[in-house]
Amino acid sequence: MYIDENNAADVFAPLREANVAPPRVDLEAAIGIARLRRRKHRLAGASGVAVAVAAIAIVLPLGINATRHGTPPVASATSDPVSPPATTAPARIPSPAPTSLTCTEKLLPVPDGVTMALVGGGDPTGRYLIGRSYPKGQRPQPVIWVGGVAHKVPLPGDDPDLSAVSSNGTVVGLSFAGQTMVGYIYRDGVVSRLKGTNVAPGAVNNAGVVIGQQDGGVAIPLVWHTPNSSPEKLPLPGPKWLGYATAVLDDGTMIGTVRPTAAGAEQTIIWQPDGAFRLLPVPTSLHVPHTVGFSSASVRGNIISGNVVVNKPTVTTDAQASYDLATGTYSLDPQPPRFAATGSNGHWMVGFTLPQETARPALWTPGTGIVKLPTLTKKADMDAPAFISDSGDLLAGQDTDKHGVIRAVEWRCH
Amino acid sequence: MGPTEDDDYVAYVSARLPALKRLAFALCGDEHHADDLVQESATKLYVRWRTARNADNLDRYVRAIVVRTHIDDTRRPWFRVRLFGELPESSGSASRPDTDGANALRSALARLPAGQRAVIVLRFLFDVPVSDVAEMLGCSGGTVKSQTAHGLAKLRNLLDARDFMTIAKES
Repeated sequence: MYIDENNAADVFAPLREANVAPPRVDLEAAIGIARLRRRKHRLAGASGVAVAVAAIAIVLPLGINATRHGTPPVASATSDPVSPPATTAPARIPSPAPTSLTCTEKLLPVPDGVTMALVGGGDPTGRYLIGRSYPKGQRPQPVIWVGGVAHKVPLPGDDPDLSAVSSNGTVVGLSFAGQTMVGYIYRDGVVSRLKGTNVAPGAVNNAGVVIGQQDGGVAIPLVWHTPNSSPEKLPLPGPKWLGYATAVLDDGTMIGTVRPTAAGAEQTIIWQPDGAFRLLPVPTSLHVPHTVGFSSASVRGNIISGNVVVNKPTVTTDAQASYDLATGTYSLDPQPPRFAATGSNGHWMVGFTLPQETARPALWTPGTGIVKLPTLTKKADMDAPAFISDSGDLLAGQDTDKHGVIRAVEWRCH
Repeated sequence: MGPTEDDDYVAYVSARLPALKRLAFALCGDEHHADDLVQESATKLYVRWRTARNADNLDRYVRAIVVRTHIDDTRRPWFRVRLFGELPESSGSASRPDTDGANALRSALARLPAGQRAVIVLRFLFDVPVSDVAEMLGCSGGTVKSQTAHGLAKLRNLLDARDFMTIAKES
């Protein structure tokens, strides 16, 4: 059979008529997993909390109008500040802000000599990094790096993954038993199953308080007050409200995102350890048109980072904003041109440069602007750091080597 | 996302699921995998819906997600999220009537590298212009043309070999 550009369409005509069975796609599950992934893809790190892979504002190609609406990033006072927890340490970025930074890259060791691996998160100090390796022909292997030394985390089940690590090295993660999610906690070298089925732990503090969600397409926020206790549903503002917890601070304060119905506008909620809660004010002070809410994505120090929620289909907005727990003020996050952020420490951002075709992993700081990071090859393949420490000198993530294999790497910037 | 955004998402995706399934099936040649591919693409689309809904050409944008997800799958098989356990046997491809020629074409397509397969499928099964394919795959028009040429050359070899074997078998 001869085939060339002139007759290819005719040759392939029989395939166009292929009798494909009706799609078996569960949109409710897609939405539920997307929400879980979106939450997980934000870098969290409130005094000992860090969620795995980060993705704050990926600007997509293909003619998408991704312009930002709203005012310049000027902090605006609100009438409803929330007292910062006493144990929250400020981010230790250099002061004064550097005007130039030089970064070096290093491959991280991986257990059993496996090459394919990535870092998805870490604790705010950067002492602990978490990720996965991919042994050939085997299921992924969760890994924790402690001071640069790699250890396997023996989570049972399928598709095991680590969600977060606290600054004393307590780790939470999840895997699948069939179609059921199972949560785990890892402390002192021991893995213990968290009680509850279809639960997804999202963060843990140094005291071992775990927050997360029950997930059956729509999420219900949960807390495990101790690693051995049964999960308790966190109280919600109304009977039909849904949501998930984002972070737990060392004083037990929990932060999450809730909505009045499955399709309602997202609001940020703060639970006290005794279950008392309050909703953050709607950030109308940012002057983003049609603002109806604020969804929290991550917490570092006193800073809650998230998205401004709007309710107007014709408005293009992906406005990223932050709420300062200490001052009770919102501010719009900076949006450097030609930069897609994948993580933040509340002050500096990591991500990659745009356009996507020539993307390079990068760091952005107010004093330096975009700093391109060194890579293993000239083609970065949209690799990027997923983690940045509070001090900003340690970044970690993945980089593709000359064989096309993703490697776990760290960058040091000074 | 707000209620309107969610409603828009569900309405849009629901209407396009059959078309997306056809594209996914053309790319991967397997009913089960095609469903997984569409499921994963729908998930990715929801994550990006706030910006995606304002794309100049949303259909092209969603097709691009399917194609890129498929290519990613072939490069990064660990990346897929398990959404279903074992599917019922009745949904498998065995129930699909097919011609010998179509089977041969599908088999030959499956042996192409993922990038070449995507280019061939988009251009000749879905009549997507070269410039659009380039944008969907994030490469130049020249790359699309060269991928097309290489893909067709490999298909010729594969189909010629099959013809030879058929003739030899019949004689």
